[in-house]
Amino acid sequence: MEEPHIGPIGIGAADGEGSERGAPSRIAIRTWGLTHDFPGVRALDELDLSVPRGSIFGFLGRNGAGKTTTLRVLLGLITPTAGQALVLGHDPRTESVHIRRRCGVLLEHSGLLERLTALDNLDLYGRIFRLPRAVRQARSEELLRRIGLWERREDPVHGWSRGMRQRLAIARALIHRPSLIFLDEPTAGLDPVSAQDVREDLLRLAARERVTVFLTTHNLAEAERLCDRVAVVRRGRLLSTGAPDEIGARYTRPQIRVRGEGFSENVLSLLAERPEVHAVERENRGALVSLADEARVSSLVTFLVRIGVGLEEVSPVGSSLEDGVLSLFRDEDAPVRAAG
Amino acid sequence: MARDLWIVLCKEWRELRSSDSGWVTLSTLLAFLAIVGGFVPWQLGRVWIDGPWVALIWAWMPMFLVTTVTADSVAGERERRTLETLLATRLSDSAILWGKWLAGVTWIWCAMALCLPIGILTVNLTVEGGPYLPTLGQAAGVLAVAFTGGGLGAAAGVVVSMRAESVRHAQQVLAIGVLLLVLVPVGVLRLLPRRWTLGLVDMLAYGSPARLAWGLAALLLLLGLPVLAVARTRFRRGRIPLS
Repeated sequence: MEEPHIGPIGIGAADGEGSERGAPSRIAIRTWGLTHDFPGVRALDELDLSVPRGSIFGFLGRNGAGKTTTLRVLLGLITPTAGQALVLGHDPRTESVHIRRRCGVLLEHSGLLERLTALDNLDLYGRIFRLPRAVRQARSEELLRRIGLWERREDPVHGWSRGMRQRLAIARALIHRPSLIFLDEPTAGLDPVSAQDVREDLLRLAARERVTVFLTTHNLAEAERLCDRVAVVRRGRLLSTGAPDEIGARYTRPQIRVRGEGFSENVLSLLAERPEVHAVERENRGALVSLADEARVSSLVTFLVRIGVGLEEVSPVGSSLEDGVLSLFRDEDAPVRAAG
Repeated sequence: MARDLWIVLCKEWRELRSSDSGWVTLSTLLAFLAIVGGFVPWQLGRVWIDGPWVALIWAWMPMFLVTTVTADSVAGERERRTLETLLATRLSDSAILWGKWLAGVTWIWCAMALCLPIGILTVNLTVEGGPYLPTLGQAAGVLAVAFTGGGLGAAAGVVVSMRAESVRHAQQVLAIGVLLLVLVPVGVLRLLPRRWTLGLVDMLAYGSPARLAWGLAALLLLLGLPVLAVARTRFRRGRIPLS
């Protein structure tokens, strides 16, 4: 665990504004060995995180990985057992009110007051964040128009679909122009079309508002589409962090797709025995080939032509975040399975 | 703090007002006023105005009713998953707690206060030989009893609702608590020396209504303050179960 630098003006590392603590920083959230124990369960295990300012940061993990707990700790809703964190330059243990003042949230559930109308919901949170009446009204209209819910502004929220509620909750999180928003699985339980609507709204709003987004999800495709950087956690422990394509490349072997005539079972068996090949998977009119380290594709192509395959296409396959994360989880699970 | 408390109070009132469709809310209020402001005074007659023990009704009624409001306000908010979002704002623990407490108390107190003129009107319309009017001290006394009774009930409501598994669970516990508040004193009364019991009965039947009301208000305040202190200690981020 890297120890935070404690200076005369406090811990200088994660400052959203860059000047409040005297030490300019491009980091919105920083944690050092953040640990939280529930009775009998370690929810967070020495978590070290660094979230760049202005990024959409994906916090990935399975159910029960500690994503929501991390979010609660960062917002000062629960106190960590050990470790330290800075959110926009403030310590959640002692200065959580400053964090909550400058953050917007959409937690696991939308948290909308369902008996109230859309406009009333936004107005209430605008009042909570001390926006003057005229600003509240203008901001509510602006956000509702942007997410396409202005026509429904006088309707009580309780009759709305989950997708509409999530979009309204994102608008609520942005009402006071926060520097950072926390979104806890914003598309969970949505149908694909609604999820896509939420994602588009989120991307559009985040870009326009220039806000840092801390997004927890277990939807890897979503994280790949939305996030600049991701962190993968398992049982409260950080497994890996980086850009989505970096994670994909880091934990998966390079792959090529070969297509053409003559990919019989015999050819696939011969292919699998080559030293350049790690694994072969049959596909329609061809195969997906995982390459061994330092493999040369040209020698493989020569081999295929030599054994009579009518090659039509050889193309590299990019490693997706999903491939990387699944591979990472498999590697992590292996010792557990072996021990079991 | 005062402004934040006002925001929470307004939010709670607004939620209470819109808890059902408008006519259901209105008809519930009218039914309450008809029973507590009309039916009970009509049945009790003059005693409603000058019976010292009537102050006990003014204490018990809001104490009982406010528990349903605070259970919904705390346990209900947690059940509806809106409490955590509220806690994730800049509002202080105190503003949220006092806002919720005051919303319950004022809601019930206003309803009880409306019952006072309606009750007086009912008695004067149904009992001959009037006019029957409470003294100013007596009227203020029963309103103080309604406030402190509601305050005690609301404080207990917050404490119980914070740990309750659901609104229903909170309401069950609170209903038993309010019932015990009636049954325990009756049981204790039987254990007291006969002379003391007679003295108490005499005071309730023939004492000064204003003095009894103010005495009861003071007693409820004394009982309510420690419960409020417990609520204040427990209602803190990090201590409130979120799910």
